Amino acid sequence: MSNIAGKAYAINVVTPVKYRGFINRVIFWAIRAPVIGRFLKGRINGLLTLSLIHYARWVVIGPKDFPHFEGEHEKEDLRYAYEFFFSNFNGGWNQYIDSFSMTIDAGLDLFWWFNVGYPNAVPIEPFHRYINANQVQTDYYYNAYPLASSNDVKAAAAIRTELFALHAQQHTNPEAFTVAYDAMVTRLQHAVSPMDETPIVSLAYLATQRQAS
Amino acid sequence: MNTTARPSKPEAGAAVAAAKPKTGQTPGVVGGNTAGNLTGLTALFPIKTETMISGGGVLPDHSAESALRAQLAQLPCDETSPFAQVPNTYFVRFYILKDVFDQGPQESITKRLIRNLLPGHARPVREPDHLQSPYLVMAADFHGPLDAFLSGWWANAQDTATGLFSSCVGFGAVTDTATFASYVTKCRVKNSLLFQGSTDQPLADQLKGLHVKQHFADFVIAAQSLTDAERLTAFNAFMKEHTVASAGVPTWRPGAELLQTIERTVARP
Repeated sequence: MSNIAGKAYAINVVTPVKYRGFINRVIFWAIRAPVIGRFLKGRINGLLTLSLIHYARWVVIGPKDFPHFEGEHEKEDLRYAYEFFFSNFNGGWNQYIDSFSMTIDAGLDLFWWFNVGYPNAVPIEPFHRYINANQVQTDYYYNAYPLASSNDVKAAAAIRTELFALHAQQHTNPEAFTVAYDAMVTRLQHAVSPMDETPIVSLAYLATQRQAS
Repeated sequence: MNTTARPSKPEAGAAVAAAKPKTGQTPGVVGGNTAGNLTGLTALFPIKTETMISGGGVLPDHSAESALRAQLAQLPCDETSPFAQVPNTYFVRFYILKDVFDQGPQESITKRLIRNLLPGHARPVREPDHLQSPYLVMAADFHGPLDAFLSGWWANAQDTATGLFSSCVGFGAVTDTATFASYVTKCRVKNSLLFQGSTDQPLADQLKGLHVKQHFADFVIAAQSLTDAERLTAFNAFMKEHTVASAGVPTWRPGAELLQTIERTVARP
C-alpha cells in the first residue's frame, strides 16, 4: 500500500455533500460549460496553471447512485451524496495541499462549498485537518513514468518538437546551424535537464520498494 | 516554440509533415469523463460481503475484502505491472473504501444558540451514514476512448482483471471483452470535473519525448566543446540514433522506475 509511485503522489478524498450533491453538480457543470465556464474561470485559473498536477478529478455520487447489482447485495441508503476527489501530482502531501490552499482557495471553496464540515481553504490548518480526516490510502498505484514529473513530460514534448523543427531545416552550413542550434537551446533552457530516480520520500514508499524487491 | 521552419524541397516537406511528432495541447484542459483525448475512468465495484451456505442461506463473510487487499499488495507497480501492458495507460489506482467518513454532529449557529440558552433542547441525535458494501474504487487516466482501454486491458491483463473482480459482486457473468466492458461500464460513475494537466499525447509519444529529453541533456553538455562542423555532424547522428520523429524504439519502458531498466531498444512483439 502506497500513495507514491515514483515522483507521483495519489491523493483520495471522500467527503459528504449536502442537498444530495445537486448544487455541487451544477457548479461543476457550470465550470465545464463553454459560456458560463468563462465567468467562473477566474476561480480555477490557479488550477490550470498549477504545473505539479498530471491529472485530477472530482466525482459527485448521489445517495442512491452507487453502483448496484439487484438481488446480489444491499442497495445503498445514504443520507448524503459523496464527493470523491482524486489527484496525481508531484511532491509531498504538504506541498500539494499548501499549493492548493494558496493558489486556488476560491476554486476549492466553490468545489467543496456544500460539503459537510468543510472549513474553507484558508486558513490552512483546518483545511489540512479536513483533508487528512477524509483521505483514503491507496492500495495500488501504477504510474507509466515514475522517473518523470508533470513538468518533465511537458518539457520533453517541447524538446522533441524543437529538435524536429531544427532537423527539418536540413542545415548544411555549420555556422548557420550553430546560430539556429544556440537559439533553440536558449529557448529550451528551462526544459533541458536529466531525470533521475526518486529519492526515498517516505517510509511507506521505502516499505513498498522492499516488499517489491 | 518554433514549429514554422520549412524544408527547402516540397517533397521533403510532405515527408516531414507526415512524420512530425504530435505536440499535444496546452496543459490545463477541463472536462467531464474526457478532457481533450484524456479519458478518466472512475468506477466503484461492490465487494462481496456474504457467502452462500447449504440450504440457501447467506452468512457475513469478509474474506473477499481480505483477499483483495492481499492481491493489490502483491501486484507489481513497475514495468512488470499488468497495466504497463495496457496501451496508452498513464495512471491507475485502486483503493478499498470500507465505509464513508462521518463529520460529526452538524448544527446551525441558530440551533446551537437555542440549545445552549434554552433548557430541554438536547443536541440532535443522528445516525451516521454507513455503506452497505465496501467498494473497490478504481481511477484510471488514459489516452483515447474507454472501449479501447477496456479491450486492451482484457487482451493484455485478463488474469489481473479476473483476479481482482472475482472478489466483487456481479463479475460472475464476465467471459469476454464485451461482457467485461459491460461490467465495468455498469460500475462506472460519471466524473463531475476532469482536469488534464499534461500534454494530451499518446503514451508512446510521451515516453519517446522523455527518452529524447534524457539524452538531449547529455548532448547539450557534450556539444559545448565541439566545433560548428562537429556539432552539426553530431546533431544529425543524434537525430538518427534516437529516431526523434518516430514514437518507436529507442524509447522508455512504461512503468520502469530505475534508470538501468528504463530504455527499450527492441520493439514490442
